Amino acid sequence: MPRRPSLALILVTSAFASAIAACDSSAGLVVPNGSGGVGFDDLRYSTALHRVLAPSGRAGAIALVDPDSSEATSVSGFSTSGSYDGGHDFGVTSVDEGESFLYATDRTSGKISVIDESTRTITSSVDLAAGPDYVRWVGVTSELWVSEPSGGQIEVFSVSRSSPATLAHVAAIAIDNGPESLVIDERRGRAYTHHWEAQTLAIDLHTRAIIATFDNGCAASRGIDVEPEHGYVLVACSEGTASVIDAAGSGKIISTLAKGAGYDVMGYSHALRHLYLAGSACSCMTTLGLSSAGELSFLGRTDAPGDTHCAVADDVGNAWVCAPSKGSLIKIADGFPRTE
Amino acid sequence: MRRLLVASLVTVALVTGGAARAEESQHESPDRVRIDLGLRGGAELPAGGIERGSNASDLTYGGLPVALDAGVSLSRRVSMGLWASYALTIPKLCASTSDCTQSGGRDVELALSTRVRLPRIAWLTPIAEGGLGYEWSTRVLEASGVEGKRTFEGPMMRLAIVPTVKLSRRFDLGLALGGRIGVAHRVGVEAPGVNQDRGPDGAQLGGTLDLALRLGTSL
Repeated sequence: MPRRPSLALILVTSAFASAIAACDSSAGLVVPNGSGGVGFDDLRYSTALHRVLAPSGRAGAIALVDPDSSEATSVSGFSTSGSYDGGHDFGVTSVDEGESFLYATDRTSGKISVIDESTRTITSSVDLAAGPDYVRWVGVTSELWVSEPSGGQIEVFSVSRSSPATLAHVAAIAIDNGPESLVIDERRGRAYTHHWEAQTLAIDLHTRAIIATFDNGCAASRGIDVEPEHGYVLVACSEGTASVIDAAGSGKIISTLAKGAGYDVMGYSHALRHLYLAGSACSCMTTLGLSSAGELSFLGRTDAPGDTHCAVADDVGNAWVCAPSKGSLIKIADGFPRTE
Repeated sequence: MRRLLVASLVTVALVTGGAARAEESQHESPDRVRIDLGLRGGAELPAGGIERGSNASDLTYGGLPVALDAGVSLSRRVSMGLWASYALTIPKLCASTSDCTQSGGRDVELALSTRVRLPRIAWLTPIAEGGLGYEWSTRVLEASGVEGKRTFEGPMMRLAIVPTVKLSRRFDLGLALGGRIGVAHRVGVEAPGVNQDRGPDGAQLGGTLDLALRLGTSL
């Protein structure tokens, strides 16, 4: 007859199991089919879905992560590969949301796909003119803008309001020495993108003309976001500099901070007015505050994986950073107060 | 913090030099003025911080320093003089060979230094070195002809131990193990649209760990 385990043994065992679980959670959430590594690039957050959207490269899916439970579901149907090559040039790497649909680009198939949020299935796809980087929904024109650096352009698709929604190519905007990154400021009717070095461009959403060029404080331009209240454009540079451009006003850089290094895809919490910068060179995530006057302030720095380069903010006070070689996302609670 | 560091440095220099002079005076007194010269080259690894949120290792793997020291003997065992060093630092972030070639940063140091010959151990003569001075550091990222720079400068202290062997009547060879510790006094950023020079935001102790070969001579 087997002996019954003692209470002490049960307590020790459960404590050990809890410790292992804690270690696992600190290592991050491995996205579906992500073990072995995923070439993450663009990360988004959907307020409507209450999910972090993580296009998962070779895993062939977009992970949808509940920020409260850290549980993930996925939308599959994209290019897959059994091995991770260390880069982020394979499969689905960018996603955006608009009017109950997700739109995602696949670098391997060279397609942009429409995903029905309710069924979480791909409903249609069309070919892209060149290798995609970022896809962004433009609500005021019901268009999708796709940056295509290899073609030196932003490709524009109209989105039909039929069911299922379909896409049609309508224009291409030539961007010399770019485009790197893409963000939409619907309030001012502008898109912003970078030259690979030194400058950020403003493009009119209706005329599709480049209407302004700004120095952006970067040798190597990378991440971008917009603070819509004042029209500030937020810029992250590979060399570890973050700057705020008064794009709706003087066109000058208002504030610059240099902390950490190796930044790429940046996160911005509109609620907290915090920037999240994940850096490979510093193996860190830096949190900066953005005042209403456009001044940046350093809030904190925490360790992050040595191959991280992307971050996103959710709407419940967390930053998420990618850990490509582990195929995981790491949730970092932002304990800093809102910057005023 | 800076006052504490400077006070510590002065204390270390005085105690080290004083103790050595006291020991030396029991044995022998200087009979002539001697000039010590040294040239060294080696490697340095970044350590510590610059200011809140900035570590010394953020933008560089380390550096390749070349240094000159020149001192005048105060006694048989103690000399004081000047130290000058230039290190080419290796960038972490450049994307192409040509960008990397242009992205080398630099650490430049000037210091007043003290060298103390410690009692010989077999065929080795250990030499303790200490110095107080100032450093200027620049980290560069060149991207297709566009340059971004981060700079910092401030007072620093250098300490090393140099086990030395005599090569000939005039020349000796030593392996210098040591490092530099400093506090940033100014930090800056130079990039398109940005030219920033300011005091540090929460200065931190930082510097390098060094390993170098020193070829020395006495005149």
